[in-house]
Amino acid sequence: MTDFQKDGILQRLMQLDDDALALFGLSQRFEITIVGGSALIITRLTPDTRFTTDIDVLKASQELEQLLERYDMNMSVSTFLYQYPHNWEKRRRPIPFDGQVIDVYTLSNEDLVITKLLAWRRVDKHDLTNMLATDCIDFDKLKSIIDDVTELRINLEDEEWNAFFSRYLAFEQGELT
Amino acid sequence: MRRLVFNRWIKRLLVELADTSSFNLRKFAAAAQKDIPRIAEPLLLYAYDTQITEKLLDLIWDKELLASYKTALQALGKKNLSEIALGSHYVPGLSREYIKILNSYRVAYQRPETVRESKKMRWERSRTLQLEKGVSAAEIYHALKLNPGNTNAYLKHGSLDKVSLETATAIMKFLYAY
Repeated sequence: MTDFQKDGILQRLMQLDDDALALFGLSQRFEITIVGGSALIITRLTPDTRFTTDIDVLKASQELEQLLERYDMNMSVSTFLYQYPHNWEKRRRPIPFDGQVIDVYTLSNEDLVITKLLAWRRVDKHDLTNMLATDCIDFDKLKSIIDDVTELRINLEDEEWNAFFSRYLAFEQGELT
Repeated sequence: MRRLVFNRWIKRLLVELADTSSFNLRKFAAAAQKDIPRIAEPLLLYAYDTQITEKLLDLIWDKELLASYKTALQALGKKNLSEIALGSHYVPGLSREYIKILNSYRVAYQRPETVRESKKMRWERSRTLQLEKGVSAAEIYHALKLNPGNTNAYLKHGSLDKVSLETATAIMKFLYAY
């Protein structure tokens, strides 16, 4: 096991859960939504050799925020939330995680694809190639999110949208460069 | 207490990320440009910290990566990476990917303090539960097969060094379930 692959990520989430249990008891439950590399690793949308050092947290219960940094979890990705599809939260799914007080979620596969198409770094292109290979994407669902003006188009400036849409078309054709 | 040294930590990170048993600059540079792009940033930071950046740059054929490396090197100037990481210093022009690596080092470096704080949280909760439920230390160390002396010292006196984080967590969960 390494700290940077699936078992290491789950161990960190478990320690976060134990901290929350110690601080807040059993009287309430908390939520955390993770994205990025750690989401791909946990949901096996990427080969087992994929790793991540930190865990990107898109959203978390306020009580958890003070604890996140201890486990190399950060919410810096939330600054890009304004670009994300509007209804990502309705499509998010739970990650199998036996937490005492924390429920862990991630985005739908299609929303994860969109975040990667938006970011478009070298690592994102690599991840998208792997996601294509796992055949886990519902392209009809992806198209419906992108076609819905209120989901994504409305969040982006014209230039951002044009760049995103070109990448989406290339992705749909399996022609990532 | 021996502290985590940056270049040793990042070298270990690189070896793990590349899924090999030893460090090889040439192989890692190739991997960064082919099948393990995420190794690129830690590789540059290692090269910078060990003063082998020129050797690394000579191995980079990917123009996008080369440009990114040069931008990062310009941002770093002659700064000390450990100081940046441990002081959470802002470095203008250094991209988020590099900052994340430095943050990860800081978290790893501070792990002893984090563990201590976590044990303290578990101890405080355990004491509350123990008093509420009237559970003796003997019941706890018998049920969990723990060392009696250490368990007593931990529960009665808050001697955090007497138990591991796993044991502190197990005691807390035992008391919740009691």
